[in-house]
Amino acid sequence: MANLTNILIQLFNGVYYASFVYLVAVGFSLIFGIRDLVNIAHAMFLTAGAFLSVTAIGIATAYTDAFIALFLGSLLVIPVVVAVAGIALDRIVFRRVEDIEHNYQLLATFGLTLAFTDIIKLIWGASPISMSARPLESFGSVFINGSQYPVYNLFVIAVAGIAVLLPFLIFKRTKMGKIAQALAEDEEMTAVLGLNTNLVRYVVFGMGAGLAAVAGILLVPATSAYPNMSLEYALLGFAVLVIGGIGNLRGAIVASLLIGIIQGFGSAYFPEYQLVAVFLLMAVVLMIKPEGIYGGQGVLQ
Amino acid sequence: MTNRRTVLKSIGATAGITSLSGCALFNNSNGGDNGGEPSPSENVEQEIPDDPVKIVFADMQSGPGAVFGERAINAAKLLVQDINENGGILGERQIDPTYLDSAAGSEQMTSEVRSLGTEQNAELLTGFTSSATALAVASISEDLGLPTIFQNTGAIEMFNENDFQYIFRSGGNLAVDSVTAARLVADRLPETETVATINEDYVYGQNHAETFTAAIQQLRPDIEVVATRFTEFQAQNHTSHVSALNEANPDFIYSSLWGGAGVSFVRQASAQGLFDDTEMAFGAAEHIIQTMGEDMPDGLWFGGRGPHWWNFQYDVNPLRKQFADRYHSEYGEWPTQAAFHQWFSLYWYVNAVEEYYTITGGYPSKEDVTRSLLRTSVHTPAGFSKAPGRQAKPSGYFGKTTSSDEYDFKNLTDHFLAAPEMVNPPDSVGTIDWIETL
Repeated sequence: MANLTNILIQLFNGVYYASFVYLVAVGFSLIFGIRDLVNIAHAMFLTAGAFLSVTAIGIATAYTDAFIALFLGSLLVIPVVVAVAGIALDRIVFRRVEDIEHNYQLLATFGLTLAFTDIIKLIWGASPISMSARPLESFGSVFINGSQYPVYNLFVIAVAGIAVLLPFLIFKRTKMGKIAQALAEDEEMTAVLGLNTNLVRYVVFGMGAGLAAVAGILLVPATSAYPNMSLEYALLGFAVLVIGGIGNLRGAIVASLLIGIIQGFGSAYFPEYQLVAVFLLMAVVLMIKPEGIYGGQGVLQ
Repeated sequence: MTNRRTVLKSIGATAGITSLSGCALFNNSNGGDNGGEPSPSENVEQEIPDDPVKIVFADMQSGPGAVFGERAINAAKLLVQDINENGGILGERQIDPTYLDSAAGSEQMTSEVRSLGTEQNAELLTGFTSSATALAVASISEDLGLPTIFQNTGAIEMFNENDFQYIFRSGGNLAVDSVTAARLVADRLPETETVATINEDYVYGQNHAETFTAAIQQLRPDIEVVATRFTEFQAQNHTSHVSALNEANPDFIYSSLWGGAGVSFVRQASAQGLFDDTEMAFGAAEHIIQTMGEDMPDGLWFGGRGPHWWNFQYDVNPLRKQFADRYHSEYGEWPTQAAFHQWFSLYWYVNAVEEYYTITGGYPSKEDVTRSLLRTSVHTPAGFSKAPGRQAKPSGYFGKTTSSDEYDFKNLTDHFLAAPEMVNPPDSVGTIDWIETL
């Protein structure tokens, strides 16, 4: 029954799901590690990306039929918009909670998630809305050994791949990246050394928000944009933190892959355990290495 | 234009004449029988009360269930406005509506209902999408003597396991979807050899899987069920399930996936070519058709807990046309299942009150209303609902998605209709027991 082609396809499905998890979790994790800010409302940037892209593309499709171009365009523009808005929000709201205990940060930002969900509902209504550019269809399909598979899924995996490479290069090669790593390790020392931490703080936040927005935009064609997205992906982000460790890039990647693949194979072959699987994994990690698989290490180790 | 009031009056007159012969039913429990004339119960106010009647509309206005609840409340607001503009119930008594968000959960709902039923003297409670919340509220309503009409809740064992007096349901038992789907396969798709189901992993989804499987095994014992899949409640990522279904390759799939989960499944399944060699029917999911617009593939079967696809019999049923046009002009979309259910709940109540008054000359108490509801037949936009009974029994319906020049969403054609008795269990019989007699 489970032949090689089907297993391969389920593997793709798992990595596809992992892509979304990674895109929203990496910002959450890095902001926690570098900025020492637990922002469970981080998934609001995912939701913002989703809804803004639906509205923007909806307006644009009245004038043109170039669906793929519109979609790619929104993928480049909207995350930047969300990143900038995120940085503004950071200045106004999150700065104030940065110095308080993590527990209280969690409470405050959880409240923010709920408020944000309601704002989305106020503007766009409670029903799910869809993207008029129809990327899922426009991208077409390939045939993997006779099984039809959407090119779009492979595209999502590719985008996530870029989102893995980019932060890695930034942290390893740029001066800003090195300052960020230093901030993650020892905030006081970094400030004492006179390094420009402010810019780094904002860039990290903006990058995280932007990547979450990318996840949101990519989610819509295969599902839809709905107000509850923030809560759903907030929980997944949390699972990535627990499993992969806080503030570690490799941890975010590995944890996302684990979650995605376990979910994928779980739903396919062990459906009774699909819900439990991720939590079992969390429990196992908490028992063996409570700080997460790559926890306690710096951003790049 | 057939005005709803004139339709009502003609029904009232007909019902009045036929009811006089069975008027003993209206006698109060004290057994007062004045020579065949119906007598109102002792504590009825003969006069139509001066104060407005407080009606509570409770439905899911947040969370995934809002795809139902929002539409129900939309309909309620519209209909209350229309009724009040025409003077109110019996042309005199205005409706004072209260709207609640039932997504708040059972605990909050039960305390709100208790307060509304006592201090605020509500006389009718309608709505609810979640069967769990509804059943919790039901015990409060029974306690308070508050007539309650549930709508979208589909639970299969609502009435045969409970001895309710004040609870009614204007929405069908979910068997209306699953059994009709099984009949669809038996009648229209005789070449089907293998079937599968995919539903959400909670009572609603499990009931659908159970009832469909039982029905198909009764109607076509030769058919093999190759997969029974369950997804997480309102999970959006179905790619693994779709791939697994592609592997199992059934001829027909039945699903109760709804709302966002339904939309996601259709998109992902379509992208993976599931529908190329598989027929699929979605029970109670017609509300996603307008949402998906051109993204909806052709050739999928959709039901709506009855014939609630707005365009079905649009030109034939004047009430449907009137309601659909009114809803559409107000909200920019055509009404869905939840809106039709709300119409039915409200007008079942209004009819029951008005008929009672017409026949007895006295305004009914809450207890009188429950007796009247049992015996009131209603012409609705979705067809004729025949009394007696506290559980509505709609006809079964599935239609096939087809591209349309007129609308920017798919229309339903190839209508498959099943008579109410063929897809609704009798009130006192367990659903699975009934299916096993098919």
